Amino acid sequence: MKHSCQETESLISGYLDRELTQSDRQRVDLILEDCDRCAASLKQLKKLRESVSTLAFDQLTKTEKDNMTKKAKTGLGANLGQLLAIAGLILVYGIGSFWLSWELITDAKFVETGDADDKVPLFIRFGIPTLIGGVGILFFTVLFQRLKTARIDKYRDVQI
Amino acid sequence: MTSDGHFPSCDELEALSDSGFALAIQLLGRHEDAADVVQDALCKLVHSGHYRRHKGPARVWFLKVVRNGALDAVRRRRPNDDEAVANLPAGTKPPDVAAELGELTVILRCQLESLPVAQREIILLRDFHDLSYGEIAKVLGVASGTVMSRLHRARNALRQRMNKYLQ
Repeated sequence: MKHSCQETESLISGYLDRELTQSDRQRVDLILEDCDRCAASLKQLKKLRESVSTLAFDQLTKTEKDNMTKKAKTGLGANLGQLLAIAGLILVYGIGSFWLSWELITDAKFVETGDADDKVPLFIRFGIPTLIGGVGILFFTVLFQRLKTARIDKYRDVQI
Repeated sequence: MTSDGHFPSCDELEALSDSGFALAIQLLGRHEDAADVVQDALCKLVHSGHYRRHKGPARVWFLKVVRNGALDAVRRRRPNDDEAVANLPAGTKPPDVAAELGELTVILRCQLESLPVAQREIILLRDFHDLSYGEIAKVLGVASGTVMSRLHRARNALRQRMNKYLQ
């Protein structure tokens, strides 16, 4: 079969690794039957591949592996803890601040007792809820911006 | 957490560590550096959530993370440190000495080490780690069509260096 050894050469790796299409494989099969040079090339690459596959490299000890696994899982605990703390903070801040603001704005204690000592000054009644609301809006705005950036950042996978 | 929604078991993590460490040591040559890279990769696997976006075997994803980590480690090294690291682990011999002793494996390791990282890694991913061309393409972040030609060039380079020992 007429062929160029140089062109066949580029198919030999794929042939060796069984990654050629069926037609290319059949073509190489025919060439190998006829061409000693290509057959020798395949034999040499095969030997090289077998030698690489049996190379021995330094390995991790059992203790190292145990420590690594432990460390990775400890990190998971820390992350989970962080997540729970943030969730707790949002709940406490959200519910707590809403409750406090409602109490102040409606001046609930004064309405309930009618005692002048329980009356809250006007600047506190509206100042504190405004402050809480402002900080809350600021926090969630930054949080949403960060989440949005993380979602559409085209370089987010670069680090891996 | 893996894509099927469960945390990898200790056995799974150990198997991945072995596989990842083999690649890291092949690229970095120093035990401590390779162990650091594998540790980082394990942490990413367990709690970064990156793996959940990946479709396919955990081993391929893990090798990709280890490979990228190892390349980062190589880039961070100082030039004077690089030469020492590029050498084989203590106890190995230069090719001529090894040849006199008839140690083909030692020669092969020396010659493999002397290849550029891009050629070394593709040979190791295929012949040592036994990945398919599609998997190699994922690990290296290249089109699967380029793997065959790149691998062939790398194998040719290694064959030329090994020619006189393969006779």
